[in-house]
Amino acid sequence: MGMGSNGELKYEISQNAYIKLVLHSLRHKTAAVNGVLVGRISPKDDGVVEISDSVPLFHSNLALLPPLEISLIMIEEHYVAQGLSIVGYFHANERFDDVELCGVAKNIGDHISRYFPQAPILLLNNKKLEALSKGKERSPVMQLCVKDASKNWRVVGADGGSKLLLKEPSANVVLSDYISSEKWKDVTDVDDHLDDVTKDWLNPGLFN
Amino acid sequence: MNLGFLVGVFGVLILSHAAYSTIQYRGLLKIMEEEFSRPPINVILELIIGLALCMWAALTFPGKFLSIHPDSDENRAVFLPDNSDFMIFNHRGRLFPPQIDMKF
Repeated sequence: MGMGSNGELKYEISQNAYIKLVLHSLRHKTAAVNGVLVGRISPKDDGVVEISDSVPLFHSNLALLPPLEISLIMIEEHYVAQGLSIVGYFHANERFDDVELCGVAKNIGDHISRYFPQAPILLLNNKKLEALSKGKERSPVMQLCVKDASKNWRVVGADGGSKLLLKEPSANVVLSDYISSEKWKDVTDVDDHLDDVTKDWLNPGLFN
Repeated sequence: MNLGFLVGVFGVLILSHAAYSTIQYRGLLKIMEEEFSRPPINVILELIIGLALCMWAALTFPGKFLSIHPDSDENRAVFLPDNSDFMIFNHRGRLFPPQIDMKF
């Protein structure tokens, strides 16, 4: 499949990758946060991008290049042994009612899509997060944005028929459970790691 | 602590006395219709002693000095506050308000 079939691509995000990103954005509730999606094109069906893991990146100074470069290199090197690579970008806006992709998010998305052309940007959707907090949301609380033919980032699947699927349908239930037990306190991002290297950005103990 | 404070008060008194002496001396010069070139030597000595006492008191009385080295142990700032730029209140936090144990 070539570039033209971008629109038919589906993105399947694993429960752990999904929960980690949402918990990270709840740990730093007052700031814009970002993260990267790690995965591969499904070996069974090349119309599906499997997002098997995620790495929370920063919660301050998102637009600063050196820490971003360091983190992307670290992540790439760590996951290449598992046959995975960076396949997308996650962003949560600072303001509650802000549903636009900001320039920084687009630039980082552009950069990732240079190495992985099908790369999506997932934008945290606060309206869906609100529904989740009332226990009503079944679909992922993120907005899928992909690059269209004219190289612009465009929101897709806003009306129900989403191209972003949860691998485990129970992910939102587990997520609500984690939120109510304040599991978000344990999330460590690359920002924390750069402040204090004893903190592991891989969050190995988060789901135990 | 208290010694530093007393020394400081004493220093200020000496300085005030030096100022008072200078004014007196200028008044005297006006009566004698002479030019004022510099205060007398005992006033200058008083000023120097007062300055030294005040400086010593100002350095000892307020407390110990804190290290400004970024790698010193006692004041190591590891985290920046959550909102290092503009403070906003329209954010995700309102969905899951923190449990605050407070008595009103």
